[in-house]
Amino acid sequence: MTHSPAAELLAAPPFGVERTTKQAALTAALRALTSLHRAACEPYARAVHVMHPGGEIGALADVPYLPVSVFKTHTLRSVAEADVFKVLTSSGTTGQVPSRIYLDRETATRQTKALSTIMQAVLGPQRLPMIMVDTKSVFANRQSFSARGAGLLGMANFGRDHFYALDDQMQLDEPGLRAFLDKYNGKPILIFGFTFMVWLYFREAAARMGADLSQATLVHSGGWKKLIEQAVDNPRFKATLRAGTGLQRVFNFYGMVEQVGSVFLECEQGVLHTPAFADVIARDVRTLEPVVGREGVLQVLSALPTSYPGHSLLTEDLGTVLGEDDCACGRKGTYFSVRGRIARSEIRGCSDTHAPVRGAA
Amino acid sequence: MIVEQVVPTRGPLELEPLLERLSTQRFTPFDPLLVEFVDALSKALMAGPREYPEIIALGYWARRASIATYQRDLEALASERVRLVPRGLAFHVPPANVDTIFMYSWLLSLLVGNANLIRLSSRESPQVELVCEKLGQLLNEARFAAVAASVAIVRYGHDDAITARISGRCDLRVVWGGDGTVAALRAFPLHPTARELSFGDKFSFSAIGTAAYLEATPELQRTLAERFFNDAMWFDQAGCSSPRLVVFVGAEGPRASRRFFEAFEQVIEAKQHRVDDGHAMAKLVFSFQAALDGRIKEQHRLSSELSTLVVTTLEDFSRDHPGAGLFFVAHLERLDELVPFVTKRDQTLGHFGLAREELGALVRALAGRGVDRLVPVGQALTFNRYWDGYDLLQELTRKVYLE
Repeated sequence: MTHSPAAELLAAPPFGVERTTKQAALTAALRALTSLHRAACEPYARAVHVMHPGGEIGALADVPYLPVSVFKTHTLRSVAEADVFKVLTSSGTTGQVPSRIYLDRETATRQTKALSTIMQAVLGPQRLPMIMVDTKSVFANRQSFSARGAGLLGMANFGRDHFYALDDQMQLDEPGLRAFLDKYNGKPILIFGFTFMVWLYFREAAARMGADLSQATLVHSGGWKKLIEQAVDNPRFKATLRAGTGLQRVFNFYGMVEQVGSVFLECEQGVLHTPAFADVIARDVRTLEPVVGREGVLQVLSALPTSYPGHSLLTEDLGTVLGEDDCACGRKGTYFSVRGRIARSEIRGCSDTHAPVRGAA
Repeated sequence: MIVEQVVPTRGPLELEPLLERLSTQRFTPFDPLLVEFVDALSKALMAGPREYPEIIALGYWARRASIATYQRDLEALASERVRLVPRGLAFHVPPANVDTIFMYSWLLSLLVGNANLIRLSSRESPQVELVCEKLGQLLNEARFAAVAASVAIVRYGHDDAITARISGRCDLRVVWGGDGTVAALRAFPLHPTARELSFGDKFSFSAIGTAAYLEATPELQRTLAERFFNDAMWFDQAGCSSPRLVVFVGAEGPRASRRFFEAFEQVIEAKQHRVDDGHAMAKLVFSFQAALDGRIKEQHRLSSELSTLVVTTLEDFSRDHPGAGLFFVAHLERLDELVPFVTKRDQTLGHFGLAREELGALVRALAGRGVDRLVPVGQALTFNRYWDGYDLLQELTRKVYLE
């Protein structure tokens, strides 16, 4: 049994620990996790040795990080194969290699607890009737646990009497939704879905059938890439839902399969908050030095993972750290915003001519 | 079957009449009209704009004096009994993203009298557009009407039927690009009398003699850094001749390496060369992957533009590379330690501070295992008739025996 060095932070109210206490405790926890993974995961030890030589960890910014995409190319585990309880894979777009995240029971349990601490801070302790903006067929294949399936199951814990609103063709089950809404007429309900699913398959159909969601709370996540292509940002997302269905309480969260449980939830001010056991650093894309108040590439830190070296990850997302402890919503912790991915441009080169010379016209 | 012609005029075109037009047009090698055309093109390319140094370099290569050298070289290949004639219609498949490299082989092909059909990638680049624009202007001048009749630059989608038809009709197919492209095109049979020149995936590197380098004056070290910049950065290290590995040969390798890359970083700064954020991040990820694998023992990130990865050994060296300013570094005591490392994929060795005898001994010891060119640092991208083991003047012509 591996205890997280961050037990104290995990037990604390997630948005109630002020800066000095949090920084000291989290730095100590991540320093201990770095040592743990160096001892238990050989490739990780090599990478830290080469990429972060010297390595005294005096502050959060000193914690060595791995680029999040190395979980796609490398098997990174800090527990024996026999102790792996579950392997999470990112769904990813077609043709992309998925990330593989190895969880033992302790890490999985810790993630579940952490997520519930955060969600309860927003939803309260009561489990509400819940609409899942997805299809049950996501769970058809139990062997491969996609991030979407894992995310849905993780969130299902926070509600009861679950209603899956979409069929296999991603069509809204209108009679089903009507029956559900009639049953809980006027009472608070919870809705969860991935951002693009809510936008593409739920928003319009729900508005068209005249669904009244004024008593609902929507929690959504999963990235804005597909929506940005349609010029939909967070304010427009919220405004459209409110106009169409009366939905008022909408919370986005930022998280990734490589750090499940460690989610950053949007507050009433529209910014994302770090809980006590996690933090975010924005790094200048060119110098990789930490920056506050201007955009950088986001590094996410979490005290949760002991079974794989994912406690400090450099993402490919751009965002801005806006402040710490002083958000108007009253929550403690670093708060920040996310803008999107670093643009991927193609490189010129002799090789790789017109890639598919053959193939369909 | 319809293709989209870009040069000499823009617009959709029926393939069959186009092939007919190209097949009837013939010149003799270095016909004065061809020489005049290439000279005019050279002047047009060198007129700028300056932002694309590789286009200026292409213009410089095509200047009259250099063309005269090629003409003399070709004449030297002929004799009383052996006459050189064009092959006929050449079909060029250039790489998608090195914008100008293919221009060299087709200009040579044009000069020796072939008709040329060039298939551009569907991806547009400002460099290619600029070259095509200048070509179009010249070819539409009345004096070059006969040249215009022998050239077509086209684009078409992924249409196997068109590729098959051109392949069956041409006398020479010149394929640049990755091994995948070469393999894909091999599926389309050529006419029995036709042949193919293929330029597959290549890897290039530089070798620096540490003794000579450390003795060199700071001025020479700076000049060398500027030359190395041209070798490596013009094509963001993605050209087949762009160095991706620097081997330091001799004592005090780490000291020579440190000074070499510091001088290089200063040139990068002075030229305000920028790598975009996506590539900088891709390089960082690549460095972490190499470190996780245990393939490197040190990483130095001098800037967003320049990283070096010191390899533990050249044994089982992986030639994967992300481009855009990342250099593997290896330290050797002697140049001939390269022999077991070299493979068929290796093309250009840029050298500094190594004796000609040493380099000659390496070529002998390699005995064809790989390395097609050994040129001084600064000339990695300088095109000449000898490329990838071919003598292009010979390959682009046929020999007629006359007794």
